[in-house]
Amino acid sequence: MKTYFHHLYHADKKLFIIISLFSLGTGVMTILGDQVTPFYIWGMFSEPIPVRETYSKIQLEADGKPLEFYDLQAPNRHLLYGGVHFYKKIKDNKNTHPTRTFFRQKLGVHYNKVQPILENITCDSSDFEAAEEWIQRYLSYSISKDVKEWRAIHQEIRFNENNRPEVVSTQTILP
Amino acid sequence: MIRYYDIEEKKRIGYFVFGFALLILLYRAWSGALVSQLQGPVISEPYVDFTYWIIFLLNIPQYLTGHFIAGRIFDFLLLFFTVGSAFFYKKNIFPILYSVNIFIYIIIFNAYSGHHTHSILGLWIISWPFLFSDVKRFSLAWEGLRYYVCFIYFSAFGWKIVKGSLFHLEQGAAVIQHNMSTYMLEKPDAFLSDVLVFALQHPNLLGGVFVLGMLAEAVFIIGFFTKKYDWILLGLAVLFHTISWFLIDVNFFEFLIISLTLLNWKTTQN
Repeated sequence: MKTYFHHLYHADKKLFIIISLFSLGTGVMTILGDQVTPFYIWGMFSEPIPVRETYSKIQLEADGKPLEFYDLQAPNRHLLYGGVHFYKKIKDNKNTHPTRTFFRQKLGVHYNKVQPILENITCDSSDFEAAEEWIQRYLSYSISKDVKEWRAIHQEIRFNENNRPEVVSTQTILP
Repeated sequence: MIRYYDIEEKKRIGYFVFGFALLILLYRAWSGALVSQLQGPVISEPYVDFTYWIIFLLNIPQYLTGHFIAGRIFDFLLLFFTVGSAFFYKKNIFPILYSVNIFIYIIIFNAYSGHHTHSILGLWIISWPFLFSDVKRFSLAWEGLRYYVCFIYFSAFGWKIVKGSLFHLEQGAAVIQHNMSTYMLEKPDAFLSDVLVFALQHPNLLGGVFVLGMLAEAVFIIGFFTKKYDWILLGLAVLFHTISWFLIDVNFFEFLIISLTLLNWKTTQN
């Protein structure tokens, strides 16, 4: 049985080289377990996820009213909530972008070689005010209303004996 | 056996592919997620992906999101190139421009949402065969993409073995509780909330559904040996993403665009 690559080699050598290199890159990155565009890893939900006592969620509030997460369309909420989550992640990481921390730990004394690049492409605490202004702007845009005040509230949720979720604690975390 | 398409068949494939892409982009425009609608985001996550680093070092995302008019022009061109790719199918200039623009859009969307999602990647990947104007080369690349689709699903299954979620009986309950708690809080009386409660009350059934889902990904290995069951693979992909969307709010509908490679578009014999 002749394979696709056999046909490809005889039909179009240039395309054979391109597709072989892409396949090789994808194979290598899959083995390494890392991904760099366009060599993707398709391992979503492959890590075992434990059932927890409680789950942490972020709820947004606009002018004192809680925002209904599912009233927003998927790409919109991905950007809005994703942006808020990531901003919170930076603040929790001692106000440092997690990618900077990753490379600092990985490279140790050699970190200074990538430091200028990382400082160019990632934000720091000097951007925090602008980041919070963006959350307010994009929130206003998302709900088509000029939001004067917003809050991000951390919720701890647990599932009761009837398998229904209930909020057990809340705490304002942003701004 | 490679399916060599003629120019008319390539035209038909292009209509479907770029028609699908246009619908997705219009949905994204309606959702407020195109570049000029992002309101000048600040916090980005290029992560450990050096391709993102290069694009950010070139200042492209920062410029497009920071200048409303530039962002608007970019969005307009993205839609224009999508339509152009469908209608000017004899040349590859429009697919090349579409491919570059959608690639930049994906980087912007993923970086500023702080999470590099895979569901959007289909919009870029599907454009690769159209980069070749020659119909024979297009056919070979389209066929290659079909194998890549099979690889994507099968490797997703492989990762679940390697990392262990296939053998983790609590996976279904944990993912539902993690992903759907907000939905169940916001819409406690919705039919879907009742379905989710029922699922959580029957962990064995739920675990079985999850394992079946994972096995559905494993079935894609058949695609490496025969095209006879491609329509089953296509059906499985649609079913898998539909159930994932409802049960765990993982919306991969956009990704289904690459499943178009599983269809036989030939109207004549080679």
